[in-house]
Amino acid sequence: MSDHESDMRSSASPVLQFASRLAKKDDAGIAVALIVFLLIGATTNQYFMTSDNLFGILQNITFLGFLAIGVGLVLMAGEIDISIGSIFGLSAVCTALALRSEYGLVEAVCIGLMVGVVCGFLNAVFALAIQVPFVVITLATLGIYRALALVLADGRPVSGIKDNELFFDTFGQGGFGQLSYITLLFIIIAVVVELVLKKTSSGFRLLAVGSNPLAAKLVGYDVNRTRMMVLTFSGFLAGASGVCSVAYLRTAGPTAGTGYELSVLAAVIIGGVSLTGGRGSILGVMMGLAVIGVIQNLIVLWGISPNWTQAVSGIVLIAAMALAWFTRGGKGTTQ
Amino acid sequence: MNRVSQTSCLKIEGISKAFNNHQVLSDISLEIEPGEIRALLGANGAGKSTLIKILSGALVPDNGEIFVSGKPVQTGSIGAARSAGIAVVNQELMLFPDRSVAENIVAANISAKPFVFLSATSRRKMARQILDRLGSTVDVDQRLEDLSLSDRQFVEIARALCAGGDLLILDEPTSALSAVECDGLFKALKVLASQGTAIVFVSHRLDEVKELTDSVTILRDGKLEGNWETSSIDIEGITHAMVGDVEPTIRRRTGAKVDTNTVLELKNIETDILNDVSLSIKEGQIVGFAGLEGSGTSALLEVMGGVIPTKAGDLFLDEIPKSFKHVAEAIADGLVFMPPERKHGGLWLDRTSKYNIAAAFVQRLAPLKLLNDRKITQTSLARIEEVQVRTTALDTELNFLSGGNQQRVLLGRCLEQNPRILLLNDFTRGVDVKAKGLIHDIVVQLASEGMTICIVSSEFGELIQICDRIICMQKGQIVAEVAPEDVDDLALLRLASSTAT
Repeated sequence: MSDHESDMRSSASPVLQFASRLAKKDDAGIAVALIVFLLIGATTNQYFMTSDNLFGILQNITFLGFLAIGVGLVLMAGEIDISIGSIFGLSAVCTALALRSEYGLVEAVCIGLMVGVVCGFLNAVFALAIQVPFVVITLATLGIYRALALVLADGRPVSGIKDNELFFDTFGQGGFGQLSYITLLFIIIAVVVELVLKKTSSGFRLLAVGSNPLAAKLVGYDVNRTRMMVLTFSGFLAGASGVCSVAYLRTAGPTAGTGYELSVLAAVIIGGVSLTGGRGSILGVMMGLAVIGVIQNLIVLWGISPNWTQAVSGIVLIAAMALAWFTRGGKGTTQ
Repeated sequence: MNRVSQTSCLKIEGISKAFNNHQVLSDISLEIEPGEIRALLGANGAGKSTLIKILSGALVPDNGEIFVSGKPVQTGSIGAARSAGIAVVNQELMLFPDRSVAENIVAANISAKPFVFLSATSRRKMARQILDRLGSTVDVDQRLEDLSLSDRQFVEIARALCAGGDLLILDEPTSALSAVECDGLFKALKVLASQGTAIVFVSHRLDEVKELTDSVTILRDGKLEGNWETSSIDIEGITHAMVGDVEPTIRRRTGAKVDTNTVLELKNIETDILNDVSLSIKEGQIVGFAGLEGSGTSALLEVMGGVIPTKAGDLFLDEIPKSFKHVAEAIADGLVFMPPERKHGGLWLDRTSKYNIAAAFVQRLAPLKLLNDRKITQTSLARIEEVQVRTTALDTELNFLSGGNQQRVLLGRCLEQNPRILLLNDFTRGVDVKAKGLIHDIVVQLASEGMTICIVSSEFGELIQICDRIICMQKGQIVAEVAPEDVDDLALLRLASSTAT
């Protein structure tokens, strides 16, 4: 029916025709939104379009970005993970503590990554073992992992880490021109994940499981294994983000990453990932993230009180959903 | 509730409806008297569902009027239809699974009058009264999800009555019911009709239509083909009116293989449902399983397909013992299970035919293997040609295909899993006569090419038409085996339901 309506509209004018063709592309809506916000930024503030500012935005969304890739995949597989902010913090604290207690760099990085993997894996194991929804388990571990970080760091930021030129100066601060190594790493991961998702058997299965778990089971996919893998991978990315944050900040706060789940989920949903699973792309998630980054940046540039920052994700989320509702012709997401 | 009026209970005049310039209904008029049971028949796509949606107020007709007991009903309003006394019992039951039977039945009433206090006792009493009227013994305090499908159907009908329906529209109420449960339902419907309720009954099962209804309305391609007294038209006549001059291509299977090797052997299989089931199947046979709901026929197929685990017993494939922990393991050994519920389980309905067949293709691939889109397109195209779905449907979302086409896409997907033994569970449910014949032909053809096929069907006639042997089950046990030449529907029903065998 909505197809029919859009066809009717498209015969009206070539502009609308183009718009309706665009609207059928999955990531078109969010791309348009991103361009609109970039235009608003460019016209309202002369500093906005400078490369300093744009790379600044990119740097700001990098740490969230790792998490958003993971959560995006989890959502596409029809599940949810809200413990990622805590995994991020715990992993950062463990990496910093390892570095402070004279472990080598390789060991410290491995510890940080392993913490992420184990946390994500435990999320999946708990949820599958006692058969509760992932939202319940990750709500529980959101608290547990955060408390562990606080206990291990004794409630204070981990400081007094001996300098490590390779980790802090080269990896943490360096880059190609204004593109930092950490952001580059993030972009590479995003591209690889997108290719795996869209072009390989594993990605197909992930989306198929998210779209209809029962059909996936009957076709012979291992639904629980898929969920376990994707939760573990989400944990791994949260760990990687934590490790990178230590390199960037030279310290680790046990409360770092608090509230990240809100921004990350908002980015993922704005980016067009279906809440019921089965649909979405990493490109969309990245653009959703960019929209949030741009708006947070504009709040600063426009001199609006930073107290409003938290509201941004929420407002944009509702606006995006309203827009999507409008383009569907006023119908719910279920049909 | 039992208003006896002189005028007809339902009268519709000149109803038309078009979607996207496609005329789905044109100029439909009919009249139904109080106490009449009217069958509404037509092949898939004839316009039955659209007509029902218009009657229920879910769709606005382009033209035409609806009268209930002589009074015009505002079209396109579910509330207006309901308060006029039109009650629709849907194909997909619309009930609250975690609530009690009483709450479900009274729900429709509660929603009409806000803030009316209704004690649990009066609610139970009200529900009990209505269920008694239907002759159902369901406990009103039971949670709905604990009920069998047929009891839920009763609850749904009771709810429609509770909402004050004088005209009950049942959209394929029997598609999920076994023969005995259908009998119970029919008794209840006849009682209701004798009390003055008019009933519109939609079904693909023509023998039921003959048994239950007073009159028949047949739609074909959106047009009214005609009205008949049920007693004045036989099943061939109905089929002819439904599908036109195309003779249904159903034929009995010939040339069954007898002296082939045993391919699959089950010994003393036990599950929650199955009780000490032993069975051996020869290569290239079509084996039918006849049983009522809960008799274990579906469970047996699921065990063979690796969908549910066994508690005890052995399964031998080519005399090698097997124990499937996953569907994938069964598929790797050539046992492919085709699920019955294409709506809720079997298919990705919001995806294309190509996607659904590709899912089977991808299942064989190793992790992180690059997908070859050209190969996937070729493969899925070949499969949908094999199951005789038109090739333009390759990139069509399944929601836009008819039930018969969906079912064939599902069959195509199962074939893509290279079955040696194909396990078909109720594979023609909700499919029209023509599509059913096509599917039967495909299955018979596959068997003559050497594939072994196991079939569970709630339609025993279908088993008789295409199987080489039929195994009857009751309460998780095999109770009889018969040759299809020696039985008819009734005999099979007796074997599957009577305790004295």
